[in-house]
Amino acid sequence: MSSFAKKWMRQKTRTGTVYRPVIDLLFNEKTSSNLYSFIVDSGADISLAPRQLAERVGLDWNNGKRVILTGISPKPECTLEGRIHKVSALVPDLAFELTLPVCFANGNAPYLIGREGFFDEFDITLDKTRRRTIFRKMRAPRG
Amino acid sequence: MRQRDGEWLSSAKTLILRRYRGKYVAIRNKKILAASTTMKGLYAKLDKLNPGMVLITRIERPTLLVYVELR
Repeated sequence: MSSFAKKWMRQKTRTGTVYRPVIDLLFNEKTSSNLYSFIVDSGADISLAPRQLAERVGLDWNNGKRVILTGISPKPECTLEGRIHKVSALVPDLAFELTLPVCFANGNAPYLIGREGFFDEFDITLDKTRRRTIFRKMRAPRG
Repeated sequence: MRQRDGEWLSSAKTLILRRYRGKYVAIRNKKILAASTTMKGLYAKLDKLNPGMVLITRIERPTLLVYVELR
């Protein structure tokens, strides 16, 4: 099997119920393995996770490439510091391991899967009508 | 396990989602085993429980999500 479908996650907001595309990724930590549910964010350049996950998988957070994360507010107090590291994760539905850059934020960040390193590996269909995402593993280029 | 737990959370009652919103949670066998407002706190609880593999996610606050920019 080189594709799988994943149902969207229901979440309540003040404006009503929303459904968000998610994917589970397995990370091998220092003492165990755990699954993490990430929101699939096609608008994000890069994936995002809290700093503690980097440390949990054995990375030295400080050794990553330093970035500043900002949201809508331009206020300096609304920014977070992050470090970009390359990290390996398993897509359990396909038993496929990939390596992708993740920005680990020094704060309470959501788990987001962005385009870099992930959208290179999959054709992704966000099927809002059926509230599901179809992930198709792309074949390696010939030659 | 993982498929069931993800689907369980997605269909969980509003009461549960409200109780844990804004928190990181660890789920196993359709139960929230641990929750915390920080990942540090969640890992501390998991290390005490040692439950084996769990599904970790964050139950978002009831706001719409928008982009994050890197500089």
